[in-house]
Amino acid sequence: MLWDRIQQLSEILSLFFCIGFSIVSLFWNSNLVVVTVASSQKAVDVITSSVDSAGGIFSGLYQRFQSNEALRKERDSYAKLVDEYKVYSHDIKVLQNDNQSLRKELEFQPNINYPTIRAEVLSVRLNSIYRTIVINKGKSDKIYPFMPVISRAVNESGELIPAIVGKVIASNSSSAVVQPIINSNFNMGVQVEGGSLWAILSGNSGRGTYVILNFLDSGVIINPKLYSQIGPIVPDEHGLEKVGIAGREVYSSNGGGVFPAGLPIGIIVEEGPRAGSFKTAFVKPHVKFDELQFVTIIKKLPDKWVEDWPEEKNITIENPFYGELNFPGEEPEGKSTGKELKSTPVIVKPTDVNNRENIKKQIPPPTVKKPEIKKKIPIVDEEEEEMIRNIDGNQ
Amino acid sequence: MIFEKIVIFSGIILAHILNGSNLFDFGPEIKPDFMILFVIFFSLRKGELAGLWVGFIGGILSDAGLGGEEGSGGKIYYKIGVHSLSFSIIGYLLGKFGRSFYNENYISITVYAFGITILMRAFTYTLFSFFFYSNLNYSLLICSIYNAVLAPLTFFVLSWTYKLQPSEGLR
Repeated sequence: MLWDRIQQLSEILSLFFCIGFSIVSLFWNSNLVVVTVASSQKAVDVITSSVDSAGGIFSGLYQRFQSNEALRKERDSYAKLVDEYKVYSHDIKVLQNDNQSLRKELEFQPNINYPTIRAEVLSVRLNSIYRTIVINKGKSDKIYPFMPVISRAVNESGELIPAIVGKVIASNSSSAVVQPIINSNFNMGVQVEGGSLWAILSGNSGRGTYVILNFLDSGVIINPKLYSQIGPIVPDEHGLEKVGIAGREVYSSNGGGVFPAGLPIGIIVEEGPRAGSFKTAFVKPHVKFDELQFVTIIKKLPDKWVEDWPEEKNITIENPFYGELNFPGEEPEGKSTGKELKSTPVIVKPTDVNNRENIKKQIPPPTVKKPEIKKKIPIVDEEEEEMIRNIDGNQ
Repeated sequence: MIFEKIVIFSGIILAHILNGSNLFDFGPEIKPDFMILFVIFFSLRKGELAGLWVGFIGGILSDAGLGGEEGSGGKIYYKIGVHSLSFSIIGYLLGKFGRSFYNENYISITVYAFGITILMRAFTYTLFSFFFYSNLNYSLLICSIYNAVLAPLTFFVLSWTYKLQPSEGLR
C-alpha cells in the first residue's frame, strides 16, 4: 500500500530530493555527505588519467607504425656510432666535474631553495566552472595546502624554465587538488621584469587561458607602439618601467607569502580594460595547461607572518579607485561610480599598506585658488567685509 | 531493471571521465561537455524522471570534480550542488516540456544541443555567481557550439548503446 503510494509520488519525491540535496549542499558545503561525495572523485581521476594514456597510445600507434621501418635502418647505423661514443664517457665525467666546480666559483644559485617533489597529473579540468588540476601525490608525501606548484616550460626565448602552475588547495592521503593560475579565484602578488612595478595577478581574466594583472599604475605604458603614433615617449623620473611593459616577464613577488620570489609566470601581451584609476594587462602564462603531464611541488608552507596574521587586522578599502578630485566649493561628481565600486571591496595585507601610502603621496593635494579681492567692488554688508578680513589675515 | 540502471550509471561515469580527459580538445579553450549531452539524450528519450536523475547524478560527479578548497581553520569547503541543481532542473524540464516540440533529425539534435548547453551553462554560471563569485573564464558559446557539432554523433552512439529509439520514451 505504502509502496504503491510512493510509486505514485515518485516524480514529486525525486524532484524534491534532487533540488533539496543540491541546495542544502550549497549552503552547508562541508558536511559529511558532501565530503564523502567529493572524496569519490579520486577514483574517477585515476581512470581519467588511464583514459588519457590509452588515447595517447592509440594516436601514437599509427605514427609509430609508419616510422618503424625508417627507424630500423637508422638504428643499425647508430649502433656503430654508439661503440665509438663509449670512448667519450670518461671525457664527459671530467667535463661534469669541471662544470660543477665552475658553477661553485660563479656562485651559481638554483632558483628554488626548498625541497621539491615531482607528481603526475591525473586530470586537468579546464572546461569546468572551477578549473582544477588533480595530481597523484598527497599527504602521504607531505603535500599540504598552499604549497606552490611549478612545471617546466619554455619561455619566449626558447629557454627551459620552471614556471608557476598554481598552488595546492586541498590534499588527501594519495592525491591533491591544485588551483592553477588560470582559476578564476586565483590571486597572487607579482613583479614585472626590469623595474619596481608591482601588481596583483588574477586568474579571473575572462579570456581563456590568459591571466590579468590588476592595480597597475595608471602612468604605466603597456604597449608603446600605440603611444608612439601620438608623440615621442620620454621616460619620467619614476624609471624606465613607464615605457612599454608589453613583452616583459612577470615574476612572483612573495608579497602573499605563498610563492617564493622570482619564479616566472608569463609575459605581458596587451593592455586590459581600465579599472578606475588603475590599468590592467593580460599575461600569457608560460605553462601550457592542456599539455601538462608532470608538475613539481615546492615543499614550502606559507611564511610565518601569513599564518599569524589575524583576519580582523586586514584593511578593507571600500573604494579602491581614486576618482576625480572634488575641489572645495564644487559639486561632488560621480555618485554612481562610488556605488558601483562599493560592491568590490579589496582586502589589503600589510605589504600593500606602504603602496597605498605611496599612491596617496603621488596624488597632489587639492590646491585652492586664492580669491582675488578687488577693492573697487563695493562692499554690500558687514558680513562680507568680515569674511574678506579673515582671508587677508590668513594670507 | 537494475542492470539497465548500472549501464546508465556507467555511461554517466564515462561522460565524466571524458570531460576530464583531453581526447576531444581543440587547444586549451575548445572542449565539449559530454555530461550535458548525456543529460539531454536521456531527457529527450526517456522523459522527465530519467532527465532529473541522470542530471542529478551527473551533476554530483561534475561537482565532485571541482575539488575542495581549504578555508579558515583548515576546514575544506566543497562546491557540491552547483551542477547537480542546474542539470537536474533543466533535465527535468526538458523531459517534461521539451519533448512535445522535438522531432528528431540531425538539425533538431544540433539546435537542441546548442540551446540546452548554453542554457545549462548559463544557469550553472548564475548559481556559481550567486553562491561563490563571478567567474569570467567560464565559456558559454564555444562549448555550446562544439557540443552542437558533436551531438548527432553522440546521439547515434548512445542510441546504439542503450537501444533507445526516439519514440520509445514517449508516452
